[in-house]
Amino acid sequence: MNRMLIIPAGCCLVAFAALWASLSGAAGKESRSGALAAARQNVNVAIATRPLLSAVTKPLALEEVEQSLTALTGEYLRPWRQQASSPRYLYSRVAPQPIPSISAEVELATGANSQADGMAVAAIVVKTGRQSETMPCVVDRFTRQVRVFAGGQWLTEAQWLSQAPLPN
Amino acid sequence: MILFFGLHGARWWTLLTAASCALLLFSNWIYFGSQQPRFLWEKGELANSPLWLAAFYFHVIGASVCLAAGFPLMFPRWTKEHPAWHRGLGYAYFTAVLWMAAPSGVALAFTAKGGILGTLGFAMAGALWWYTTWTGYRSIRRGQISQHVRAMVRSYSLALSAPAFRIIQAALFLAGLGDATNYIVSLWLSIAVSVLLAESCLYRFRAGAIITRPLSPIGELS
Repeated sequence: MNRMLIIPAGCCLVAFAALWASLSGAAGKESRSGALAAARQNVNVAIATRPLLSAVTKPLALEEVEQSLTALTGEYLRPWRQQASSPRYLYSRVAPQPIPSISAEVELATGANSQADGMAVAAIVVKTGRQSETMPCVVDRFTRQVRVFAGGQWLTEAQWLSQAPLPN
Repeated sequence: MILFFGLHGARWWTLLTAASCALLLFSNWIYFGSQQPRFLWEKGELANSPLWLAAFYFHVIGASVCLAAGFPLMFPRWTKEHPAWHRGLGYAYFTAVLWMAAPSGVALAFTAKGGILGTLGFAMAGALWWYTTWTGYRSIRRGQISQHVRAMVRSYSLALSAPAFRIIQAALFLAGLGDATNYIVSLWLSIAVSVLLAESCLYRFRAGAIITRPLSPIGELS
């Protein structure tokens, strides 16, 4: 084998190692920054107006999916909680019909069969007083799109948030 | 093009081959220029593995280089007129196949779609590709031109199984074949077509009669 083949072989080996190292480094940075981004406190309506196809190539980890859904659910409950804690409704607590508390839980399907092809399946359980409503949802781990099944139909994030409950 | 010598409509086949290679190279550029390659999406967690990704990009780059560099090498008249170019592009082809596309292709075969049949198909194609290319290199180093031509015809024909795979897959998709079955059938059909193309070419020219006059001396070639 002459040097016209040996030298390119060596260069290919070095190039492969460099490519592998750079991809490994990029994956490490993404997992650290992903944890920070997922811990953000304020989720506003910008989530609902985010472009459908985000510019991402790495999928969300399951923990990030859960945190994202938790933040979205918090936004869903915000109108109810805001009105419930407003001065107007404060007086109603001593009225004959108190406002029930509202809470929500996110239950992520974590089995291997339930997470496939870059999609994460979860359920959002909204408890209003003694009533609870379970809404299945699907999260695209690449584009971060969320679809929630509520009211007999699949809704986008914006549509679901627009149907956020309010105290009567 | 040497692969189609003696065939009716050889020029049209050559044009079709050039167009399909160009389309494949262009689609690679568009595909990886976008920010969400669907192929990686379908791979799920595997696409998160740096080693797998590195092998994948290496394979795509190597295969693209070999398709582009190998095309002019399949024209004997051009080879006779530009022997230095033939030699240079030849080394580029050897490098792209022997050290990039074929080894990474065999490695990626173990995570291929289609289960065991997919793995076997890609692994076999990759191994054959590497072997025929290595035979082509070894024979030209020994000055055995007819063996070199035979081996390189087989090697480039196997390289053309990539665009053939996509053309067959598209045709079978339009014919209504299911995705999973389509993938396996297209894979094995493309390998079969490549092998048939090479062997029929060599049979038509009864190996050794392709180059009727020796190339002008270039280093070890005589």
